[in-house]
Amino acid sequence: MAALLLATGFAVAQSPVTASLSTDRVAVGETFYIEIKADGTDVSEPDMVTALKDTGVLTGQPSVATNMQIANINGRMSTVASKTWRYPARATKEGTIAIPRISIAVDGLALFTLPMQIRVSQAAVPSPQGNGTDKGGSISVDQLAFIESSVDKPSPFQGEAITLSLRIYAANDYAVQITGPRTLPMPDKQGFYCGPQQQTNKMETKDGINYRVMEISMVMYPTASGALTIQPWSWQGEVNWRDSQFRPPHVMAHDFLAPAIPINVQPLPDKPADFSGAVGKYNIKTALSTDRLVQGVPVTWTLTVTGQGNPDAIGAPTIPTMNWAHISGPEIDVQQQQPNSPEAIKVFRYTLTPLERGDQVLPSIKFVFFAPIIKNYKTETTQEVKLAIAASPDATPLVTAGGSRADERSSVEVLNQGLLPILDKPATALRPSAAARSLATTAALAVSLLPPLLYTLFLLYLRHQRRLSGDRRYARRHFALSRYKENMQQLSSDDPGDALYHALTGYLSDMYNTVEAGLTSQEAKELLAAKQVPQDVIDKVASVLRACERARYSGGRLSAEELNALTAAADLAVEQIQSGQRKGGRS
Amino acid sequence: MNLLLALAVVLGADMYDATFESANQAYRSSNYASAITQYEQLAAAHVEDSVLFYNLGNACYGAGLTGKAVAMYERALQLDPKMDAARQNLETLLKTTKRNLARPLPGDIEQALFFWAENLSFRMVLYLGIAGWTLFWVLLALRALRPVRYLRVAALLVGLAAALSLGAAWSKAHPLALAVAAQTEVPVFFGKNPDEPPRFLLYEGDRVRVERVEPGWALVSTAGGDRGWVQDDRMAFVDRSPSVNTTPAEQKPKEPQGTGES
Repeated sequence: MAALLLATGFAVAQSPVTASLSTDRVAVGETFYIEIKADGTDVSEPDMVTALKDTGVLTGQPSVATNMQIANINGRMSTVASKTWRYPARATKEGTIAIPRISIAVDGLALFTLPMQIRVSQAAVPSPQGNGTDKGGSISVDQLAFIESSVDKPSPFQGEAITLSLRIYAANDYAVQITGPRTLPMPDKQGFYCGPQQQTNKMETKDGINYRVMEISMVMYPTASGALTIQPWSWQGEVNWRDSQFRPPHVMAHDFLAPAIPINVQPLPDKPADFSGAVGKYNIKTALSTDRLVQGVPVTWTLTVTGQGNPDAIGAPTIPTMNWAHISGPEIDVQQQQPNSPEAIKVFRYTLTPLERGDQVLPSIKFVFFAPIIKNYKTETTQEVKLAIAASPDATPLVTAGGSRADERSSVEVLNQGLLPILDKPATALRPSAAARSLATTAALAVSLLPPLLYTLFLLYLRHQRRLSGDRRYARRHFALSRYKENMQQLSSDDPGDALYHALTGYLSDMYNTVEAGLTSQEAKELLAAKQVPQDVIDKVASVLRACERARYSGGRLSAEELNALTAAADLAVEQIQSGQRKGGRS
Repeated sequence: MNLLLALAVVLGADMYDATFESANQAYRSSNYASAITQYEQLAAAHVEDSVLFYNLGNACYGAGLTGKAVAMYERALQLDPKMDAARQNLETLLKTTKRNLARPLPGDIEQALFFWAENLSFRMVLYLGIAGWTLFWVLLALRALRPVRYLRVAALLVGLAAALSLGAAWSKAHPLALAVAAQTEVPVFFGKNPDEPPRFLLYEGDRVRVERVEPGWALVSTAGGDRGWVQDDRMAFVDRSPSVNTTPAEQKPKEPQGTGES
């Protein structure tokens, strides 16, 4: 038995989960805390709702703390993590409440805390502090601290301003402090456009109890007609109060609730055509930035709408047509009469540029709005203003394109705000650009292709020049052919047969570096044979030369047909010799 | 229309200038609709002049067509990147738009290669390219004639510069296709179905890149990378000549008004 107790005690001492209470005695509704701690790397949150079901203890959202320690024991690193939950709790019934074992999953194992007990006494009933204001009875927590919500108009018109007041009461005689959420929730106000909001603090007496009251006022505008509802205002907080300065304060969780407020929104009657959209109470006034108007000089024309209502619903007034002026704008500015006040000022600023000189009239402006107080539409009207507009000092005639003069103009050019004016002269000649573009593209392509073409020709020329100077066989072939062609130009001389003979023998002597003088057809034949020229070419050369020799020695002249045939044969033979030389390669 | 204007050119008539002048006068009389119609007649006849589109932008603004005005200023700047008046008016106008959405930019490589040509006109860049190209071949010819030290490196550098210039010219000839939201709110859809919920909204004056155009629709993307389909009648396209829906008789450019001598 002793061993069993010892083992149990050891197990408890070593348990990785523990639970504790902040106190063992509380009153009904008084806040206390349940703290649960678990050691382990993978710890899940305890299920308090299930664990405390039917116990008479309610818990709220816990605060969570995590701690991690890394230890080096005998050279081995180990990590110890722990997690702590601190639940605010309150008891709902008197007596001794047993808080059962609470299950927590630690590193995959279901572990339990030890059961606990708490004694719950009757709800705290504060008595007034010793200030002589004993009312002879006790008051509840609901009287110590509560909230209210109300609106000033339960049946507004659509778009009419109503004020929602949210009040938090805290009994002053008990030094009541209310702790609410960090951000105080507001009631849901679907169907309303919310305007400015303000907060005030005041003192108020209710049922003989003095309260400190914090009031939040919010201006709202119903956006639709029909039955709308401002939803209940509810939140949870803690009420803290003292019975006596010498006793510790009481703390109690408390659910604050203000009921929903139904709003019956009346639709607007048939709208006139020039209805501005404003609902409320407004007046309008107009002003010019200067009373000295000059033709062409813009001035600011301001229309100011002041009143109570949703400023965003105020549309710009309808501006009558003014042929004598150009109007642009408006710039719109919304100002609040006072901070958080439903009084609003909406300013419409127009830029008015007089176009014509002389006496003109700034017409009256109508502003139509719905006035809930008379349950009908109302029209506010500004006064007409008579204006004397001076002539523009620099009203010079405009110059048209090409330097021509246009007619004298009685009006001046109006520039749009901040924009530079139009230009009179085009940047280029105004012509369709398609043809010009295709021409430009073709020209650009041609210009781009020309340099590489010229470069190629230049390279070929350089190569030719270098071969002439460095390739003897090429040079001989080139010069021989050139001289042959020159000599062939002489065929029209008195003795064309002799000229042909000399052209051909000259070619052979240049080609094969021999002496031309005395070169006969037989010698030419032998020379060509020695140079391994094909036999048909040799025969062709020899036959031409022999024909020329016969003509020379017979003293006759070659007929034209004969000369043509011989010339053609000579040209062919030369071409074949050139070709054979080219195929023979460089020497 | 085009035929008439082309005929006018052949006959030497000065109808383009007359239409331009007439449009200017309409603008000065605050008759913006008439000014727009006449400027657009010139634009529809493929007259590409930066001042024409600049004036058209002013007229569109005067008529309350903010999106179209932005598109026309963009067009003017495409034709003449140095046109300060168009740039200033564009900036002024964009400040009045709901969110002054950033202009889509070309790809990173294109920007890195051609940043230097941003404010140069197409012609200037083209001339630079052709000059560099010619110089490149001249240097090669000199080198072929007589090898000079560093001539090859110089030719290489000049060739690279010429290639960059010609690339920039090509880039300017094929600018980023832009469109501008021409209505207060322009829904951008996931697909070409106007009944589906829009992916996001463009506001008047927002500039987007046009990636693809299909009948009635355009695939656009913002500078932030949002993409989607818009109905093309809600957009003003920067590089698309306006189609003038008027009869040929109405399309004929007006004679100059007043007593101007030309």
